[in-house]
Amino acid sequence: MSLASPDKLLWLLAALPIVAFYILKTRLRRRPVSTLLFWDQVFEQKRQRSLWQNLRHWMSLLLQLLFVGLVGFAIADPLWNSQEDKGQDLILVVDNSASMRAVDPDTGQTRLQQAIEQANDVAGTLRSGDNIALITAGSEVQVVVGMSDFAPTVQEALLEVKPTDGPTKIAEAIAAARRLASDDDKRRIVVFSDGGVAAREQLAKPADESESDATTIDTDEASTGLASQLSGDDVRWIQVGKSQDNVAITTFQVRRSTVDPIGYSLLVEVQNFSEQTVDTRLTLQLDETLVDVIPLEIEAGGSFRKQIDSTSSAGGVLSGTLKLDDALELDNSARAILPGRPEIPVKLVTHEQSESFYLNRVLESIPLVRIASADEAASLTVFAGVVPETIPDGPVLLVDIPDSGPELTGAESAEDEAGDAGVLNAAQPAWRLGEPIENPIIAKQEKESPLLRHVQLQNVILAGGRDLEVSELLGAPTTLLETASGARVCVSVERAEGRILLLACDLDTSDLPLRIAFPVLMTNAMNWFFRETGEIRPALATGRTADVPWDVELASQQETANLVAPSGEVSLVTVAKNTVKLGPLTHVGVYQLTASEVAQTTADESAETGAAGEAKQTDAVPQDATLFAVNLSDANESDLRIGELPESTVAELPPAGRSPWFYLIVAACGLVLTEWALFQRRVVA
Amino acid sequence: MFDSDFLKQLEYLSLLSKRMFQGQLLAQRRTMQTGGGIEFADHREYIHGDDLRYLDWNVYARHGDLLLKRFQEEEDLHVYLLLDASQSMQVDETAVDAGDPPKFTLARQIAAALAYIALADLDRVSIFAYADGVKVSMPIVRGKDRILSVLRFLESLTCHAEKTDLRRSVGEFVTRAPRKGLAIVISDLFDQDGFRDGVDRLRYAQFEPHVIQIHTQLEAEPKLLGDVQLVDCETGTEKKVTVTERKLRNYKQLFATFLKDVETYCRTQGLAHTRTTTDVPFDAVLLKMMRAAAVG
Repeated sequence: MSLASPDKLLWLLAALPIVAFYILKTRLRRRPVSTLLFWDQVFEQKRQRSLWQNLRHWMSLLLQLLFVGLVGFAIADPLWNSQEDKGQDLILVVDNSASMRAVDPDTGQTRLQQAIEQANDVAGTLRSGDNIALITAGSEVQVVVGMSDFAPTVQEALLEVKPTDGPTKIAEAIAAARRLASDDDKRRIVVFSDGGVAAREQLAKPADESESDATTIDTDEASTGLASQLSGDDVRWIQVGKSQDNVAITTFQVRRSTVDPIGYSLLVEVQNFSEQTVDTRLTLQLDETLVDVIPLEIEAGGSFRKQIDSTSSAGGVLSGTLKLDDALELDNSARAILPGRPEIPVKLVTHEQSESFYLNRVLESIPLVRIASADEAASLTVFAGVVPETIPDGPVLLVDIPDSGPELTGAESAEDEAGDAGVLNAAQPAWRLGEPIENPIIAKQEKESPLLRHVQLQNVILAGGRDLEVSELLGAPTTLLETASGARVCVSVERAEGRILLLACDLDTSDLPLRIAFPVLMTNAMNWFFRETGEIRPALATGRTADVPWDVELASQQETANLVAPSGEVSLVTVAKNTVKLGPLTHVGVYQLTASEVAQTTADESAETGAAGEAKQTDAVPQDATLFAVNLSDANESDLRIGELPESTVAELPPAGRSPWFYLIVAACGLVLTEWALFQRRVVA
Repeated sequence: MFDSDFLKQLEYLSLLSKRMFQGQLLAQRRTMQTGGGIEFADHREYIHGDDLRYLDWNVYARHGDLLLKRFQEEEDLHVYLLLDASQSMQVDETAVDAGDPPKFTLARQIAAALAYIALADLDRVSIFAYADGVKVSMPIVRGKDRILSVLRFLESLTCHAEKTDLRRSVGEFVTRAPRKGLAIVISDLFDQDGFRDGVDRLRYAQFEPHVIQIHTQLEAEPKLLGDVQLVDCETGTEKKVTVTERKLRNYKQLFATFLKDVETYCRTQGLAHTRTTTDVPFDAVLLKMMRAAAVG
């Protein structure tokens, strides 16, 4: 052990006056008394203890000198052997994940507050030559304060650490800490967490045991690796919080039905992370409308998992709320975005002589589809028995095609074609209609196309079926149905102006309209035209990156979009290939993605508005904004039970945890108390 | 010290004492000598030459016996007040025991009161102030009109910084006292062996000792704690001690034992004993004495 400030040992000279005073002693109070008769008798009885009396005074002197010695050494700032010649790189990793929001009922403090207090204490032990850094391990690992030798910066930054709604990312934080301080000998990582990590079982095992497990069990290799990453000689865990019961919604996803245009399915899972059975209610709401209330009785450690089917053409925010007052409120509610199903006006153009009865009925039977009047703007144009002069923009459905398509006179396209093929083709029909076929039996069906999902038309005679040779000038054709003779009777075309579906079939004479496949085909066609498929628009989880498809940006060609957080904060995100790359989202709630300009709501304003912030922000964001929900959906975070960490992990910090002078001062205080006790013993005993 | 109020109190006590003592304590004591008194004592055989005036003619007329009537002779009582004038009676503890008079003041007030009562009863009073021996004495006085000289004498008394020695003082007193009588010792008695020897000697010399013991409240329950240097005010002996709570308890126990010893001794020897503290007024002490005498 050496001294940081050996010059301060001069303070030991304070012992001299003590010795001087001891030698001189204080003048005793003189008290005249009538007689010493009785006092003589009193002290006569104790004479045999006079040796101890003297010794006690000596003891008192020694204690006082020891006290001065300890305080003197404390001021001289001694260093442990481990601290000699080198400073330490102390990295504080504070877990600000969702589980750290749990409130301790005894103290009324959240786990994060406790962690910050403890981290503050540890930061206070920093000495000259040491460096300190602060990393938060919530939704995203964030180096709040880089390596600095000024502890107050870290202490101030600690007060600014806010809880996130994301999962714990201790492993990444420790990795970042190791990158931050590369010197293995000097590095000390102190983790302040409730231990709610993915590999908590592995973490709870002693290090050697987890190593032996790693050699025998291959399947646990990943988690064991994570556990070994979480622990190590340079990592010390300071566990905060106490085990608490919690019930959480761990899964909440909604998707539109693949068969029912207005139907949807909700998958919900509620888990009980406690040692007793829980009775509660799950309330489901679509925006402000109550959808369902499900009474739940979940046994200890059990879960409730159910798929709930319902219908609604209107989209919105579907939210589930548990009526429960537990330690963590965050996971008692979850949200998912149910895509809306707007009405589809369809313009039906028929032949003068044919009303196309079947097609009319089928279209009317499809939910959301409405036959529009002639002068009304329509989303879809259907030609039945008619070939238009020009193919209109937007989705087009052609049924019972009597003739070849209109001439395509796209000069650029023609020149490109000519350039490639070396043949000048000035104009060609959009499609060429083949000769009538005697028995057009469907022999081949495209299985991958969403248009033919749940449709089985093989071996069906498609009366009026004729070959359709679609020109590539029109778009990229895909043959859906092919007869045994190779005639392509149903073709879908991908076109920039809108998709086209061609079905060469006489509905009046064929038995196709009488088959179940026909309305299904038409329904699929509607979904295909408007890109509204049964695909899930998944609710995202906090702390994870996600690619969100965003078709709107296809036209605008913008490379960035505005992301509006539930708190009202606006940030820019990158759009590429119709998808938006979202970084780890820190808070649960409904986010909005828009290409329009959005007024920035400052953090202060959002704090002032509080719960009303979301509503206010909704007003500020344009109607075309794409919504997506973000939930916690992390069983690890919701499980507030705290496991015992092994001693090797939570062992007392190296001696630097407390400076030697701290112990010296404690010892000195102990001596003062002893001296006081000795004095009291002399006087009072 | 002896102001007009004090004198009024003395007069009151004097009147009170006549009613309560009824001649038992001080004045109008009958001596065992028969003689010229007026109160009949007994008969004796007539001897030739006796004064015929005292022959009991009634007895002679009835029985024919010649019996001479004897009368008890009344005699003045000698009251000796032995006042402790050692330094321990004047120790300066007023700083702590504020408000209470020193023992010596109370002792002199008691002595004055007793002297007044005695003089009022036509007894003879003499006062001896002693420390390690008789320091100063007042010759025998008689008559109520001498009370002022008694008070003057008491007022002029001072304490002497010598060790109390009652035995030696009594020795000197006995040789100087002209006649036997009541010897009232007023002292703190912080001279345990000497006190007993002194009183025994008084008894041996056929005095009738009466002990009035005075101590202060602080002497019974000192308020000392910690390191102190105790100084004996009589001898000047110093003692450096650390007074603890336990030792203080020991002290109080010893002092209580001392008081009890004195009381037991007096009771065993049939002596009148009165104990008081300085916070009690002198008239209350006198009344206490009178009551004790009335009961006895």
